[in-house]
Amino acid sequence: MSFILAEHPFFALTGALYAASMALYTAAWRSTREIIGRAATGVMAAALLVNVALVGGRWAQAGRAPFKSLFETGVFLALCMAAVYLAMEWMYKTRVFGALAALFSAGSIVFALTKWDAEIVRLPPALQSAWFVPHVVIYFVGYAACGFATIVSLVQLFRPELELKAGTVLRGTPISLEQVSYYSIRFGFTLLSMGLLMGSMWAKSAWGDYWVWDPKENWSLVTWLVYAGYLHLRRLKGWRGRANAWLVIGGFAIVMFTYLGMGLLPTAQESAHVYTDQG
Amino acid sequence: MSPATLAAPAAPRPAPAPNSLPVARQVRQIIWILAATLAGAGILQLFVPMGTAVFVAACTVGGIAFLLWALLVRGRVRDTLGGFRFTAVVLFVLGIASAVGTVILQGKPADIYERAYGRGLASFILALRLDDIFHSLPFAGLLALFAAAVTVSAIRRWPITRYNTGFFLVHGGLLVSLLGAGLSALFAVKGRVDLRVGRETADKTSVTRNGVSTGQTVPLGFTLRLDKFDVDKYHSEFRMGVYLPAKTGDYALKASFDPDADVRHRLPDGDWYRVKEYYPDMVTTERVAEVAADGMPALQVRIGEQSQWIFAGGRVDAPDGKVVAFDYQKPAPPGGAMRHLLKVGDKEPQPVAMGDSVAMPGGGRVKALRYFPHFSMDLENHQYLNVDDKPVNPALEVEVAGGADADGKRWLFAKMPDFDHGRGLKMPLVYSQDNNGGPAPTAVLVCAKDSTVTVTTADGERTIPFKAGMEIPEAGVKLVSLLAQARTERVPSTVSDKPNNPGLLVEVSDRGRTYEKLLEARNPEPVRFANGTALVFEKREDEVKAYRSLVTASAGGESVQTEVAVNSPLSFRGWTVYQVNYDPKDPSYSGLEVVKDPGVTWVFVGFGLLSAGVIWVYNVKPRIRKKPHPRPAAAEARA
Repeated sequence: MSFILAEHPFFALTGALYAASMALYTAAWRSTREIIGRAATGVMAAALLVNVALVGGRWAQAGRAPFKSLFETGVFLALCMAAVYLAMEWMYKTRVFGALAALFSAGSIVFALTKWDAEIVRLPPALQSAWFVPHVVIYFVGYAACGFATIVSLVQLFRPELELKAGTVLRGTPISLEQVSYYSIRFGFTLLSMGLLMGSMWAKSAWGDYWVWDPKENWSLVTWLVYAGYLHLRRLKGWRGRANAWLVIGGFAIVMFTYLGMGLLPTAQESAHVYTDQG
Repeated sequence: MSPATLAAPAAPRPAPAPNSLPVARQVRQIIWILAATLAGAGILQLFVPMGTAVFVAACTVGGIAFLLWALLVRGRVRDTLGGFRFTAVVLFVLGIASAVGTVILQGKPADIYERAYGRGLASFILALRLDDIFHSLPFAGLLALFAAAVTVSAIRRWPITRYNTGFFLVHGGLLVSLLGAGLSALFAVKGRVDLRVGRETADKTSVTRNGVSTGQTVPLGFTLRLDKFDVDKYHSEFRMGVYLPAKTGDYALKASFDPDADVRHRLPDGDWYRVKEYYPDMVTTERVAEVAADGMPALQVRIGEQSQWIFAGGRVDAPDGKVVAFDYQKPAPPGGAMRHLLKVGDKEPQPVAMGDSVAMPGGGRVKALRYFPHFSMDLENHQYLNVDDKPVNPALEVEVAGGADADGKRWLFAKMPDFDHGRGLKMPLVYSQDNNGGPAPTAVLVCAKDSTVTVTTADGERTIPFKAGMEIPEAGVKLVSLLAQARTERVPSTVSDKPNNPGLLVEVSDRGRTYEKLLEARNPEPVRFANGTALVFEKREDEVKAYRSLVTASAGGESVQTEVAVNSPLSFRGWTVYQVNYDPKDPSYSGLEVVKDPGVTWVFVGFGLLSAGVIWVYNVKPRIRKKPHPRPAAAEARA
């Protein structure tokens, strides 16, 4: 892997910046010095910028959106998580979730490196569609929002004492972890719904069918159904605690399976939709 | 959303059902409803033939039945069916069914299930119709429950107000989508139209289901003609591919680079390569170059106007039978003229010339007919050939006449003395050559080790030190130069700027050892590294960029000519025409698919309403509700 890092210094830099911001965010949990928190945010923003340059550079080099392979989408997922996280940090004025968000982005970069596939593959006719970019971007921002909700739910489940500290890093007002997770799922669910709609319209224009019970379609539907179930259950008494937090985490596990696990399914052989791994 | 909203607890919603059941009883009721529906539908489908119409009918009848049950039997069932808990459970169960449909192969012949899952599990799957789960009656039952739940919850929230607009958009959208999906399932027609440019028109389609022809044909209501078909390809290019060994034992392309000169590309384990020179239209010439090591001694000799190199162990024939021989040690002086020798049985070999005869002991004669220095055989035409004048495979044709072995003509080979074409002779004949056929010629013997030149003539010999450019008048040759270590190299150059035969001169570092290599895209030989990495300079296959059919659709005086491509279908008279196939062997052929689907518009309208509703409910409404309400002055004062 070292040769890849050396050949492509932007990858090394992006991963290193995410890792550095993770360290700073972790330090900010224990320190009262605001400079550490500010530095963490600054490094995360820098990582996001370099990540944008990485995606933009590849876009220019390939002459198409770099969303074709697991390698390309792994890099883009890191970007989406960083962007969603920084937006959430700005909205909720807390850095408590920064360490896990940076870990997620750094993990995505490392995952992309393990799926290293620098070869630029040309788009087959079916992917040459105006739907390609909005469909993928909306889904990945949606994935990132659900991922952020999962981070919050993990904190809610395993470090509930942070509920009080959550708001205190900058502002001093406590916030509800469960509600932050819920708002993030609401945002993610909106995007998943739009992504599903766009995907079916694209399928119709490319293949003549808006729904063919393809494994990727099915698992996107499963994701949507699970989050829809979560949103319904949350309206009931007693469903704003640990059970719902587990549901958020389970939903995201399905999201990740939809993204990465399709190759494991026996029905994937006939799918026109599953990412191919050249390695 | 502002932190203020987060800090405040969510506003409690008005409970829609005043007479809700206790949670435990409601959960039991939900389980019963679902279990009864799934079990009932599962049993029913044993007696009902499967099919789209049955499926849609089951959804419709089931949905209406559940709805009537909820509306007519007031109270608890309505509360349950229209409640969040029931809807959530139905959503989860639908999710499980969708997942099962990806774990179990769908719509395959029965024997495939036996092979994949074993007889026992296969019969279970087939009995429960899990092999076509999305058309099974239990799935229809789930959809019916879902539709009923959506409708009941909508009825309970009627009328539409400012705050529940989003709810009605989402749930109305779901119902409209389901309606559209039902129309699609019942009335959509999909078929193939195969056309060739200018030859024929189509006014009907052969219907397909899941990509397989049903044998049915349906009139289109218009004629379709293919005016032109084009396959666009991406421009071809030459790239340096980096291949790494894959788990499958094969090689996988991991990266590729433009052949830009002077960029050092890092490879695994510290290896690297750099393109030193790029030749778009490469030709190579050979030259002998001095090297520091791993070469051979080389001598450049000029005879008349011709100059040539010989390596150690080689010789050059000068005019008049004179010879230049070169070796590391002093070469042995060449012998006299070559003689043909024929050995008959145990007798001593005898020199023969063409036309001579040799007597065989015990009677008969052997006659030498002709000599081929480089014998070869045209196996197809049964002809013997002489390829050139170098003694690569010296052969003598002889004729054996009279005696016990009289069998006509045969070939004897100096390098294969016991080879007799499987004929067998009682009296073996062996052909050989020697160089004792006359006085030794004038020879120039060059020794690389001592850098000396020995000239031998009939008058004796003299040895002198080698000097570059020295003339040897006895042999009529000039010794131009002598190299202690030399190699033959291919010298590349380009004859034009067009990429007719791109080639690269690359510098490669493999575990610290650096060397140069010439690569040719026309003959892509990999550069292999010790760790398994392979570099290949190769032409990328021409990949298809687009299939484009220019078609004319005509009906009743109306005619439309347009281009159909993947992602760019044609819509005409209720049909949509898609580009789906082509034949690389027949450039005039285009495979088109036609679809008539009265439900698709409703599906998309439903999806659109759903998306708009979700955006409204979760992203717009919270902001509307957040707007501060004007407070009465008294309240202000109290605050």
